[in-house]
Amino acid sequence: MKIGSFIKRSLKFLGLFMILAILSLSLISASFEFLPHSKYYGQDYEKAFNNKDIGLLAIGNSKLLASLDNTTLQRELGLEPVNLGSIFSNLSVTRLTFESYLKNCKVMPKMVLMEVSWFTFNPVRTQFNEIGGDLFLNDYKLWSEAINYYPEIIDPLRKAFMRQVYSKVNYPQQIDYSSEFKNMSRFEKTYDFMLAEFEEVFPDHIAGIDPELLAEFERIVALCKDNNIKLVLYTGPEVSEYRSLQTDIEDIKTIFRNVPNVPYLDYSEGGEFFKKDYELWMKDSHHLNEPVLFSEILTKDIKSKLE
Amino acid sequence: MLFNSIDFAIFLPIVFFLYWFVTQKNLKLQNLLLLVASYVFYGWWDWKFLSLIVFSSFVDYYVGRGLAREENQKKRRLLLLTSILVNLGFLGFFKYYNFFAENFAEAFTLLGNPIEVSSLNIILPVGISFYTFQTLSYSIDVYKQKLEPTKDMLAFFAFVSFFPQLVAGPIERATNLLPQFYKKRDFVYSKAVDGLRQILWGLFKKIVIADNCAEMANKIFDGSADLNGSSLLLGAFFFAFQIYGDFSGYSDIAIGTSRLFGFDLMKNFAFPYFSRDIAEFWRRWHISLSTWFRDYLYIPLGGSRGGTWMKVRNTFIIFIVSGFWHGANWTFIVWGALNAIYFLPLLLLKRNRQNIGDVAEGRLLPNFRELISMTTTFLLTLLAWVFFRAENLGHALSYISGIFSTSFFEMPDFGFGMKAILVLLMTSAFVLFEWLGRHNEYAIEKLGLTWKRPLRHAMYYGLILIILFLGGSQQEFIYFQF
Repeated sequence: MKIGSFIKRSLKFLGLFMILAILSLSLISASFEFLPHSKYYGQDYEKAFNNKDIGLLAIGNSKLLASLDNTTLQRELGLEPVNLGSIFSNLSVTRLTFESYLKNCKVMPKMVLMEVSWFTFNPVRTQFNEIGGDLFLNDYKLWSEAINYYPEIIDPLRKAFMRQVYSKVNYPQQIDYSSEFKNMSRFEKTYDFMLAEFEEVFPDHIAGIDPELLAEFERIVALCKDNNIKLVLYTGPEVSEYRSLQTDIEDIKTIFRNVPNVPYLDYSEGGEFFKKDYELWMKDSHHLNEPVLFSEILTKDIKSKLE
Repeated sequence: MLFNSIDFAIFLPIVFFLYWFVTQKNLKLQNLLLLVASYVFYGWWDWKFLSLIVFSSFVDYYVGRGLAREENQKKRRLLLLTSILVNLGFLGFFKYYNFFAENFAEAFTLLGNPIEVSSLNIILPVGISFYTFQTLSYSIDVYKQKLEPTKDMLAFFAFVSFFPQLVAGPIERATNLLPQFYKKRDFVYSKAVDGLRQILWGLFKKIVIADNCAEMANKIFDGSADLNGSSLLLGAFFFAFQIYGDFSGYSDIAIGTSRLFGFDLMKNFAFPYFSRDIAEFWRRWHISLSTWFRDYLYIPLGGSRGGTWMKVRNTFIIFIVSGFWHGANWTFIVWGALNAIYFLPLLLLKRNRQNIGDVAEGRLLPNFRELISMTTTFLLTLLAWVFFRAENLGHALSYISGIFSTSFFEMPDFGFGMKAILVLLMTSAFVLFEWLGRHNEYAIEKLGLTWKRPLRHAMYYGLILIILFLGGSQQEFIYFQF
């Protein structure tokens, strides 16, 4: 047999496969729902992408997840909030979450609350994580950008697909991020700072500024400006051992401080809103364990800053 | 470029199309295309190290030409020495400089004369251990007049850098691969289809078996200090299938890819975990390297001729050098030595060639004796793999002592739960397929060939779906580091 028939048969085989793949993706997308996950609040994503008229979007990574309490935010700011953070997520995922919401919402949110910190622009500590796959399955409009996130998009996409399949066959679902909070004292430090673990991620104690992540940050700022949404940046508390190792912290904070017309509330050491006592509310070097207490303080400071 | 990447999935059809439709009428053009494609394939990882391949190719090509002209034995030896020094020099510098520098410094410190030796921040060029051995085999064969030196520079350069096997083998002999570059290649449908099937099976081995086992093995080896004996044994088991799936999967993809271009590469794995003794294991594991060492080191040293001392010495040399080839770490040397210890009794008792054919020939199941010898051999290799995988000798020893502790009788518990069971089930199914296909070149070579096409295609779709959805997180091929 000639090469022509080899190619024809191979294309037929692949063509049929592609049709089946697109059909399965469409089927999954059509019945897609955000599920509970230990790395984010699935119900908040579900609420955001179904209600489509949320007043306050909180976006960021695990520091955001650990620091905010929706009930307090709603009571103090009078806006319907959702917490769209996820563990390890980088600014690409944060921007895609935000942009996908904006493309699908009925009413623009009034405020975006974004947690930023020393490692915000670090491509190792933050990554294109699992929620990225869910976002693509939920919103076909994002697919035009898929190639920009290859190959890191493959794994999240595959896992998101499998989660959807599992959910259809009643596979036991995960507990959401709230299971990460610990039963510990708020009056004394009860955790140990792990220098070895820190140095595994930051061997030179430098987080750096990745240009692509910086561009994503600028795009988030521009999206807020273009859609007349109030953006508030904040850095949550961190323990002093962790803070003292951040060699290039000032370079990074300069970026946050210099965003025009955007308030920046800094609760880490050296910041305007820093208090030593916050260290007692932590579950580890940079994650809070007291979202209610911190949300009360944060909302009060936001109100005074915006006034 | 990784075989299991979208980059390669785009690269391969482009090269295939140009090869068979644009350059098929001109052999020189086809070889040129393969050379350029191979350099792009390698340069995708780091183009700077291409210069090493080009330089090594130049040296061996001109050494070959020199050997063709020269009759004076001294000068011929000098030419061969040049090739050996250049190739092993590169390998020595990039792979072993820091190892020797640090060990010298430690030795002097132990002797009470501490010295300062600065280690260098050296990046190991991918595949250097493979292509240097391939070019060396050419020079040695030409020197021994087993091979006519080539006058076709383009064919030689394409042979050295042939992309399917450039970075992780099989380490081809010039006698097998080089002549294939001289001949016109015709497209053979059945060969190309077989190549695709082998690529699919290789991807399954790598992405489903190796990458999933890697997640388990990494977790267990990294946290070995806190785990019980049964978990540690399971960790060694996962690593055994990680390395087998990873490396034999790579070889399958390499061989399958070559077949798409009309080339035949040597078989590199022959179902080694079904071996009945260590000698058989080494005839079935990384065959291209084992036979390389046999032909270019073991036999020149005297092989198994001579007295007992000579046999013991040669066995240790070949296994230790083979271990050292894998990496500049004492763990690899001990891994080699341990295999020598396993092998020696068989050699001294002249039982090293007692298991030549396939196990359970003509039967579906092995008999009791075969089962016991296969299990024993597998467990011995498992123990040796601990040294291969461990960070250092201390880690390996504590890992092994952990296995042989009373906690061995506890239930395995390393925090992966259902996922570990799923991976075990997939590995068991894989072993079953390997067993059923053990008489073939690769396990699914003949599976479904007599079925109706829709059914056969359904099986391939099934495999692709398993690869897409049950694959582990992408890991680099282990043998890239060698």
